[in-house]
Amino acid sequence: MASAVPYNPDDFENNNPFAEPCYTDDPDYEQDDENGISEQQYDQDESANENADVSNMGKLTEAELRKLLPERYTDKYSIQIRLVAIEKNKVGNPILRFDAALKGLPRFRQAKYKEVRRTYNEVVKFNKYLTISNLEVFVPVIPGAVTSYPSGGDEETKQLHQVWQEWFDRICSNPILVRDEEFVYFLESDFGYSVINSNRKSSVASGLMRKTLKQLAVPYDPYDELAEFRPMIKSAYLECQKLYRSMDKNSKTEKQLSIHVFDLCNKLSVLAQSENSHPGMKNMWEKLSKIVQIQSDLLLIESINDMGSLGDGIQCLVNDFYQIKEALTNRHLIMRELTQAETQTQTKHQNATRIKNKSALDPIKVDEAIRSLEYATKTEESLNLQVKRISGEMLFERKEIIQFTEKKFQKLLKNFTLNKVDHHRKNLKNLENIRLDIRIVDQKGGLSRLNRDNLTTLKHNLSQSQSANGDSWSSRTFRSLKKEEEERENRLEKEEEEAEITKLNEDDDDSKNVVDARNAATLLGVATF
Amino acid sequence: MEQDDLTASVWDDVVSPHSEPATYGNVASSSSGPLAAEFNDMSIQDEQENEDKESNEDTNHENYDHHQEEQNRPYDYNHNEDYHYNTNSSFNTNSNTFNTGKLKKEERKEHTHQLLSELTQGAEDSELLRSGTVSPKAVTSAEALFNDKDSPIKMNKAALAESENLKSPRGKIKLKTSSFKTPRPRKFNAKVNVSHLQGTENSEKNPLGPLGSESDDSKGDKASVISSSRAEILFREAEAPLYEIQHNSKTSPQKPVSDEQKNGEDARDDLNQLEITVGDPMKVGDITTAHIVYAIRTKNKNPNATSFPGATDEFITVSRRYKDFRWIYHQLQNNHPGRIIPPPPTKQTYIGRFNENFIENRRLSLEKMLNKISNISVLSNDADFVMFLTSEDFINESRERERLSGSGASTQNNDFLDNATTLGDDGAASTASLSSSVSTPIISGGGSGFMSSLFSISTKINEPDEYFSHKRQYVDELEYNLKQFYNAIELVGTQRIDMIGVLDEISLAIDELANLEISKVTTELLSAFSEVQLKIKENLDRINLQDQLTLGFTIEEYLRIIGSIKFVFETRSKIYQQYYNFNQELLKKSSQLDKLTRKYKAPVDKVNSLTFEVDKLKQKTSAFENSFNSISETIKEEMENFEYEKIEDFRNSVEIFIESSIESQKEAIELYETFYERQNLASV
Repeated sequence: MASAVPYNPDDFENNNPFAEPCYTDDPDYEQDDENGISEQQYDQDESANENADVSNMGKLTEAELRKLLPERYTDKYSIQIRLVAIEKNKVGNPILRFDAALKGLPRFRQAKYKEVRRTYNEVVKFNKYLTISNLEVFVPVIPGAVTSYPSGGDEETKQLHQVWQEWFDRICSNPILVRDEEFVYFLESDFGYSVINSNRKSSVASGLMRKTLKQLAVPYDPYDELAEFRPMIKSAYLECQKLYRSMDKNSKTEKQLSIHVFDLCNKLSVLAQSENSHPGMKNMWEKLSKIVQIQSDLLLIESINDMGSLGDGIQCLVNDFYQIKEALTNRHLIMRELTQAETQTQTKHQNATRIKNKSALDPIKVDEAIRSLEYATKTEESLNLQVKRISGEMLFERKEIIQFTEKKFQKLLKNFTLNKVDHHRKNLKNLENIRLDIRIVDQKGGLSRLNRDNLTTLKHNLSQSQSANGDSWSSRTFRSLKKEEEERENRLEKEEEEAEITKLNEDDDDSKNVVDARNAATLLGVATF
Repeated sequence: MEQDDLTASVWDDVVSPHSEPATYGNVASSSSGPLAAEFNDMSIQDEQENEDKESNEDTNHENYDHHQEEQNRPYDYNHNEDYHYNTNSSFNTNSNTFNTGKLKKEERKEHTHQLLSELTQGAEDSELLRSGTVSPKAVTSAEALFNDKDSPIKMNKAALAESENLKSPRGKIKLKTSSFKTPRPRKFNAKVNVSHLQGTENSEKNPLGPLGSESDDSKGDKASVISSSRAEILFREAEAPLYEIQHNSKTSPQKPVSDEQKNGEDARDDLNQLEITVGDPMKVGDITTAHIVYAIRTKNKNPNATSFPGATDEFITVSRRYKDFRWIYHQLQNNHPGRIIPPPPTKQTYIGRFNENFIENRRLSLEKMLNKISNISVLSNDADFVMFLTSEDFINESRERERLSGSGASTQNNDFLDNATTLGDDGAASTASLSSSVSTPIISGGGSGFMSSLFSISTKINEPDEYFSHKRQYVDELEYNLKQFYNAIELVGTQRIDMIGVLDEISLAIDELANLEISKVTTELLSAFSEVQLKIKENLDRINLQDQLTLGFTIEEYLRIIGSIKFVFETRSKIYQQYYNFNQELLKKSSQLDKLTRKYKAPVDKVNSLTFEVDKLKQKTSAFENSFNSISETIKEEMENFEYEKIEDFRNSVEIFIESSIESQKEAIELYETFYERQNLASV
């Protein structure tokens, strides 16, 4: 929101003959310097937009958005990163190997980067840098290198591959992040990577200062969506944290349970050994012991799977939500700075007016007053634009986040459900194996006979309830696992095809790269240090 | 036949004037004219009784039963009893003492004949008969009992006071029983005493009492009040001896003495077929005496059963507390040495006594216990058991019975009953139980001093029957394993309960997350998922409870049964020790006697006393040997039953366990599949 009394240079007639005519300069140059293309447009629409903004009670118009966030309205630039492999390294710090393909981005020497190797910690540094330097973006947090699956296992690698690929996709799909120059260093650096623009410190308050500022009342927010977004994200963050804790507890309890069940299995086998009087009983106890053992194993697996499929994802969401919350806090802080700048401008303005109204004018004082007023106005302008840009971008980001969360929850729950179904199906199959052993303990045939003594010759109809054509206990024909498997197969086939095609293409590229002298020349022509 | 006429006339006399105030008659709803009905009943009774008189020897069941039924009908109502009261009292005033004198004499003659010819019970019975003044008074009790089956009138003070008079006959019987078997005397005593109670005034000197009223004690209590009119009793005496004898033969097999009798039981048709339910647990009493009372409803399905009061197809409801169940358990244990009595559930710590789950669990166990007891015919016809099921005034009666039988059932140490769940450290507990099982016989044998304790050690080593040492070991092992099993199941159960709590938390967290309304799809998805989690939680809760109720319950029950078995083993070893001690003493004495007799000049009185002692010891030894053999037999038989039942029970509970697990898995699958389908997750 603009200051209550907008600074109009015409208010103060510059009668200082020594003053430089510099006030006509556009103050948002320093803000949007990276965006050279649309600078011209800015200049033209500047004043008009400002008026519209005022009339609109601080809300951004489409045109203004276009101007403030040109990145959002162009698809000229893109980076595509494909995670190829995760190489084993120190514990918790694996190496990510990925290919990158660029489009339309300046300052990159190549359009393709193959086999870029970055350790996880380097990626985390890069991630942190992005967070600090892009205040307007909800930068996704890279999921941790440690999963709930046993470390070094296939499942872990698979999961990490999946979540990191997702993270890369999110980073690259953001038009503002793609334009960050740090990307160049991140991709091009030959041996390892460290943040180059590290001198760019966080521009917002941190530490104790931040804590104190957070205690203050939230500044007025013209955007209802964003005003409501922070409390929601905050409670989502807290709830997810709670959920994660419960899930963790659940998993631990389940592990403990599996230990107890295993204990039960041991006790049963001892009991079976001591049962000598009746072979049927002995057999029953032995079989039961086996079944129970498998049950215990299944429980253990389930406890891990639960955490892996849902818990880890929830943890990612927790991190993300936290980051979003912080970004929104930053916005508030900047908005507060803006209000401060406004008051400053106001005081400066009053000061200048007072001096102007004085009978005896000291030209030096007047000049200073006007100069400081101008400066304050410029700061205010710049902050105002920054706030606008942040707000505008966050409006976009908010939608994306909601969409992402939606998808993420769906994916997580799908995965979780599939795992659960799988677990219970295995359990069921396991339990059904023992039925006959119990019924043949003695001649009576157990409870299934229900006192029908003469039915001893009757066959036990103990077929497995889960046959290929559906479950016997329900009429449903749909089975999640089956469908899932089909899909997986389809996907695999597709991927294979794609892989073959891309391989062919890559081969072409490689041959081109090797032969293309011009490419070599461009490469040589640019200094790599 | 004089007295027949007399009685008939008496009946007529009595009935006609007294039935005029027809209020009593009205209550007899069965027939149209109340008066007529009364008359009919009376006449039939008379006829029958006369008949019975005439044909003393041919005791015929049908006739008897018929008679019983006939008699039952008018007495279903209290008023009718009162009515009889009146008749009897009038009878008393009209034609009293000379009648009784005559009656007595006649009766006695007939009775002795009858008994001598009919009693096949063994020497002791006839001995009893002959030695005691054979009076038909015992009959009184039996008869009186019959008539007053449904009377709610309780044993009054007079009856209690009467019990003091019992001492003299008791003494007499004790003499007998000393030559009898050890496990039995107690029982025998109890019966005698109880019967005396019933017989009240008249039965003081009657040694026939025990024979007469074995199974009818519970009814007898009520009878005592009514029989306060002497004349009535006499009257009854006059006509009843036959039933008494029948009774005798019927009730005698209750004593678990020999196999023949048991086999005989099967053929009998007057056994109780009880249908017992335990329900309506209710909290009663104030803070200090608060306890739960359970209502026991019993129905006897066998109309021919004699030992059970009340008509068939009619529920008798009494209320008992947990303590009483323990009492009946110990009472049965004492009454039937060698039998494995189905035990009651364990005692509970003070806290959590009124927990709903606990109460339900206990109710179930108690019901199971009673049903198991009633399935064993010997136990289901036990007088104490019947009393337990039917008595209105349980507290006094049980106290009396306990005192008389000397069982000390209420104070009996019943560690093993409670051991089952307070296992604690497996190893320690098992060794402790082992050591206690070793040490107990020593302690129990210590009754006759230090020497015997030394002997007891040797007896412990010389277990006469390989079978028992084997079984003992097996039972110990089984107990240990079952305890372990139970512990493991319990752990799993508590862990699952933890998990249920956590699942609840998860469901709650998800629900709250859904309420944030991040987006419409998320909200729907998450709230559906929360619901699924809640259902899964319920599912787990159910299966957990189910497991506890099937496997846990069965194991716990078997642990208690093992406690019973151990008790039985101990009883046996006690008897064996006594037998062993007496045997040792006998050997010693007889060798002394040998020495003495071999001496040229032996003091005659010394020889005499020694021979007397040796004789006595011989008697004792053989008595103990017999009882030892019989208890061993019983135990073997019971153990076989135990094995059989064990297999069945465990198989059944494991089957239920598996089936319910299967069902719960299916439910879980279904829940997740439905969730997956409804939320269209396949397209994600």
